[in-house]
Amino acid sequence: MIKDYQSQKELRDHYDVCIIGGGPAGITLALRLAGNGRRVLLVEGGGHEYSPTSQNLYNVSSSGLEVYAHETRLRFLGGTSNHWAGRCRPFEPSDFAVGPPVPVPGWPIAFSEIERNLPGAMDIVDLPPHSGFKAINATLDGTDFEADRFLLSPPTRFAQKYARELNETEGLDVFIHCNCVDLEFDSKTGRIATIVVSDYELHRERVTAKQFILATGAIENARHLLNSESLAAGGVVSKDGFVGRCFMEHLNVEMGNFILKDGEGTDARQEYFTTDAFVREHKSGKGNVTATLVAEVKSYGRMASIKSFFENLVCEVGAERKVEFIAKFDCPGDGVLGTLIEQFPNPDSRISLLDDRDALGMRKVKIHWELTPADRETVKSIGLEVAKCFADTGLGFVKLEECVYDVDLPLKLNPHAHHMGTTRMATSPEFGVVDENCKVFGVENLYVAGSSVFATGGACNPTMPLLQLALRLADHLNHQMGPGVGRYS
Amino acid sequence: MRETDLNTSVMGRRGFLQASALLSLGGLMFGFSKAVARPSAIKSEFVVINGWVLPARHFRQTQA
Repeated sequence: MIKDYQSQKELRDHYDVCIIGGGPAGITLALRLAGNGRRVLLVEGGGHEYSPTSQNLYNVSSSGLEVYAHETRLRFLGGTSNHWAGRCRPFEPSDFAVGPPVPVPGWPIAFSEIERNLPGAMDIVDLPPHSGFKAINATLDGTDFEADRFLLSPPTRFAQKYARELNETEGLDVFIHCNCVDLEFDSKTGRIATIVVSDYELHRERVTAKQFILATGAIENARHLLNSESLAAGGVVSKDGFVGRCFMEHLNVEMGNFILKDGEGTDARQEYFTTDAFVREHKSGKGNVTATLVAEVKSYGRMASIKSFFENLVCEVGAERKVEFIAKFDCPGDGVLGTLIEQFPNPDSRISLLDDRDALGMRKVKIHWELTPADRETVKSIGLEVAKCFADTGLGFVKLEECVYDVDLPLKLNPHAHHMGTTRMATSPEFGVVDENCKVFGVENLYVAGSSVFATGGACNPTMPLLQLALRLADHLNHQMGPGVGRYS
Repeated sequence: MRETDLNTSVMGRRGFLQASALLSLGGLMFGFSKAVARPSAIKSEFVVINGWVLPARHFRQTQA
């Protein structure tokens, strides 16, 4: 049953599992655990729809690159799935087999640990569970890029699609307008004893449960851990620890534009993806490059200036005059190149807390997001090599933005709203926040769900993989807690 | 081949060099080094001029 905590203070005395956050991961976990007979509480800070009062609790301050953390997240039931675009590309074996070329390790689990939950995750986002991921174009010749393979979810809006289950699943209580404002850690037992929830009039009460799961997105998951004074006092969260560190995004770089030799008749959009061979050779991250024809080209055909470019390039006029021409050739081209490029984990890109507090009394967030030289080299390698492939295959030519190949210039990029890594999975707290089962190091009954546990982000859209991990966590908790069917009353 | 649009004003040498960026493949138009080998791939050589990534062969005919 979905209840409004603002007017219905009907929390039970005790739950098997308390899940904080009603987005894709939280809803998936709630339905799986309650469906297996657990008494589950799902608390969501927002309501059924967008409201500035709730959304303003997502205000952050930032330094470094702009994350657009306020605009890219949504704080109401269904979470950011309410404006999700729906693109699904799964992780690959190499994402788990090969660590990043930086001083923090990659995934501590095998690819098979996430692969087995792929059909289940696909089903959740309305994809045919055993259908293959498909390319929309041919591959580029050579060994560097292949056609990207993905599927598009309708996209699934979790609150709408799962409204009936959230209302009717026995054993599941869903409270909207119910904001978690503190995690209370008992250092004697090593467990979260209670969480504190609040409505918007600052009415507060404690919730007890056997297990707690944070599922509030990568920024808020770290915020909850950092905000808890008892976790800090208990030594679980420390200033030098990994909580909040290694914030990662996927890089949407304004790579440049291109001209096509054949122009008309070319598909409006083509998507390419780095091969494992490319990543090995360049010691780079992975990346998608999307070539999109501009609308004017499709409508009006090729521009005369582009035709002249090709003619001048091959004519016998002398190299110096060609260079002069090309140096002054300033044409928007047939299309533009966009990207979704992997960023390596970097402890200096991080979530931290300010002394200022929000309307509910939680400390506000500061995000510092930066790129490392390794990230810039990834962008440069992908830009140059895809441009060479365009030429080698006779597709056309690419004009790169200067900042792509001159790593001293500020990069022109936008985030993809893929927040990852702030409670990263590792084998020990030396390099992460959660263990292989997504349990917070040093706490017996606190788990984290969502892309904040990603050790590396690859270049796949994170929603489907985070659902795979949520299903895995549900299996783990169901196994750990034993038979639960019909235990609640 | 028709010659078009090449009657641009002559650039100074400094401007010429600024407009021509060299990436990983040796000299711009006065001698090219070998491309870094890419396994199983075409071993083309490239120059970057004003951001355009172009096959070096189009600029070879005037080598000293």
